[in-house]
Amino acid sequence: MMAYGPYDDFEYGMQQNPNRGFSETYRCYSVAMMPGNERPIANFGGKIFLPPSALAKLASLNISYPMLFELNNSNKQRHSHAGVLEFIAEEGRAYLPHWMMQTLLLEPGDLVEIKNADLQLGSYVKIQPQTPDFLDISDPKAVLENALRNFSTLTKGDVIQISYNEKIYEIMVLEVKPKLDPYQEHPPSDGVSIVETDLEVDFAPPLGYVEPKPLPKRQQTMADKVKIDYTPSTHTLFHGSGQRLNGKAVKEGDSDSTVKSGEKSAPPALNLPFGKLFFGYKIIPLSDKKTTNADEENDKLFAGSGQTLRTRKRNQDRAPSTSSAIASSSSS
Amino acid sequence: MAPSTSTTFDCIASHIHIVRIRSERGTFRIESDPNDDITSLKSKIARQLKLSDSIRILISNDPKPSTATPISDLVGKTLDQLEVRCKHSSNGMCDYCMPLEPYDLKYLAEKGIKHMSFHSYLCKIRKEFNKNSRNARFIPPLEEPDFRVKENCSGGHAPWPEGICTSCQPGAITLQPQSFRMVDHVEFSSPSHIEDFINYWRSTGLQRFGYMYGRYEPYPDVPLGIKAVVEAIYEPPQEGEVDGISLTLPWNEEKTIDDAADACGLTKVGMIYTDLTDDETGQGKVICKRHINSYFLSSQECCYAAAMQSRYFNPTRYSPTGKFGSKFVTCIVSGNKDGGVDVSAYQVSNTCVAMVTADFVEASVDPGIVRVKESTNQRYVPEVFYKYKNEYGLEVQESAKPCFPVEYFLVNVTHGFPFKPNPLFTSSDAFPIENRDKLGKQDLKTLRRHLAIDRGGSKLITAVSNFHVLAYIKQLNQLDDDEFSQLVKLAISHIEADAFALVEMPGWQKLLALIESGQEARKWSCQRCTFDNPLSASVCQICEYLKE
Repeated sequence: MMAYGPYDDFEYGMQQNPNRGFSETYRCYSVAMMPGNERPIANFGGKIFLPPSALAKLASLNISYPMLFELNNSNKQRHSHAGVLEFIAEEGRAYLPHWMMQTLLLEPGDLVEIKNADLQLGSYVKIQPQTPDFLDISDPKAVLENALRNFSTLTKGDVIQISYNEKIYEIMVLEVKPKLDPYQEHPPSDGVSIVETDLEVDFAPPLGYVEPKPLPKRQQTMADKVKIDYTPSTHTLFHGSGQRLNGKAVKEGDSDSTVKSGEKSAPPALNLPFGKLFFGYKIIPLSDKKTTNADEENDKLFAGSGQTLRTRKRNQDRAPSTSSAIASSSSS
Repeated sequence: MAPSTSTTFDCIASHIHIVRIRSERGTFRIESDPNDDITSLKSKIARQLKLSDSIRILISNDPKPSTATPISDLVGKTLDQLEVRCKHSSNGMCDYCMPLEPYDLKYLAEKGIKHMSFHSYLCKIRKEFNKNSRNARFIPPLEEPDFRVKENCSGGHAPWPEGICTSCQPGAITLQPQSFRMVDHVEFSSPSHIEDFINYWRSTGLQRFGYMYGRYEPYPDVPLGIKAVVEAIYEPPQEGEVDGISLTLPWNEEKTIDDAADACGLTKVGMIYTDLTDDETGQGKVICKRHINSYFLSSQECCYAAAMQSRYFNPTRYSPTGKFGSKFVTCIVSGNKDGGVDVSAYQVSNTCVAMVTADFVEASVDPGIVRVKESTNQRYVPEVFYKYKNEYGLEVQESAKPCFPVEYFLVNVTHGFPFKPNPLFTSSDAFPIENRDKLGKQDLKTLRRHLAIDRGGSKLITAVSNFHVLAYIKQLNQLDDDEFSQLVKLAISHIEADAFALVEMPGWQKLLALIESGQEARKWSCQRCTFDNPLSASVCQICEYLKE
């Protein structure tokens, strides 16, 4: 499928024979801005639209098929590779998938240099989904096979977009390896062709992916075995609801309408066979005299001493205490 | 009066503690604190009488120099202890010198004793009983509570449940804390008992249960008190969990172990179990679960303790049934309020035992609450009340149906360790504790190593002084009763002559032969699945694990 000869010529003879190379500069636009029918597949693929004049020029050149191009944004020093889908763009324009524009840091209307390229078939690619929800896909192999059908090249550093199940997944190409031919010296290239080849795909953990912590191994407890039901067995005395003569609804939980049960509610029974002891009750932490503190605070709410208008009574109150004081002093 | 060189006087210590001195120099009053040492009184007298040498002051109940004691002999005593109040002869008795009754509530409160001892209670009951009855015949004063419907009622009605009358139905029960306790104190003869016991929890995180073997002794700190001295903790087959214990019942070896203990003069005095949970702070502290705001003994444990107490009852001739209460104590190893591991000991009241026996209380999922069951054809549940002080400080009575607090069942028992431990079994070498398969099995190999048979049994005298070793040897069933008691004698006495006597015995020789031949080695237990394989098999027959 691939010709060796022209390749050598391409490498060394491009300067001598300008006819052999295709190199044009176009204004680029996103596929979405193409006139005519909407082409959603084109936006999630690796192929571009070129003007018919490009086809004419390419046809006159002796280039290898499938046609592959190197896209170069010389302003930003970015480049990528792409295949071609159709030659239906307006003259002077090229339509690129949206992700490619982003990868090349191109704004619509910017100039992009498109050269024809000759890429090795890929053997291995390592990709990294950019969102963890890629892991939710049940069969990523089939999804990728289907999605990469629309691509003819992969370049290291691309962040490609694929659409699946009405969701757009971004995937970054981390690493590519061409199929090495031992008899052939290869130019260093960061792009591979993936047309009609078996590709080994490796995944890096998605960006933002957190390794789930293994749950601490929990020992089985007796509480699990005896299955304690803590809900108290409450039984209300008067079931049913009230009615009002004016037709309005009775408020739920109206204190007048509910009758408080006089009986205490008992916690459910814990019946274990003889010879079993159970300690897994809810742990009540030891609080240091919290209740008594609250009581003291309540006492402090009404500080101060009482007053009485009848002075006689107060004297009477006081009298025994003074006498007792005398008694104690006399006894000691 | 005597010459000035030896002044004699009578002293009357009145309630306001004034010592009056009559002497040839006149009458003096000296105020003295009754709790002061006699030396302070001596110096006061010497100052008052202007005596140069106070050594020669004599002190006596009556003004006769012949019966007087030199004051220097009484140094260290206080005025109160001189018993100078009694003016009667030595065979008389007055209010001051009459001994206190053992059930004296004031004395008990002073000493911080929450419950009077059983024998004090018995004295009290007998005194009241004798006061009322003029019968010369001995009538047992104690009565065990029994809340079951009396059988064979003579009321002339159909037997229960078809008919019931006031004479055969149990009366209404008013719950109140029990005023006495059957055992006053639990003494662990050595702290190592507890250490060994909680080591299981330390190494596995699982709770543990054990029976305490020991004996009952008089406890002098409580009038007519009884203490249970724990000499060994035996751990029956069980399955521990993080939050519970399941005993493997029936415990087939129970009789053998009881016999071994009996040969050592020990009985089951109670049970002990751990309820420990690490607080996960990494400081080695445990969670304090049992405290004033939660519970001390859960209702489920109360029911269990009651069942155990009814099994190990206390025989007495002062009860018409021949038994009264139980001296079986329940010890819990749990966290105290500082996060340390601590022991607490309890008994449940006789009322609790009777209620559990009559089957009308049950545990609830709230550990501090006991449920009262409903009456059915199988059981008649009388009215149950409990009294408590309400929020206004008034004593109120409330029906205990359907539930009531567990505190009415609890009887506190103190516990402690002796100042000078003198345990019965002194072996310091570790022998695996029974039924702890996770931490090492008891087998002939470990026994051989423990008794150091390779070295001619040189360690025999010390090594056998361990209840776990004795119980294991008893279970091997090689020694007859006489030989076993000889072994126990050696274990307790540590005398070389006993060892010689033992080694001569044929049963001991049989045991040694058994250990040497390693009869158990006819099988080898798989390291992985513990299956006992025949010796010929080189891999485990169950899991195909290689023989070690």
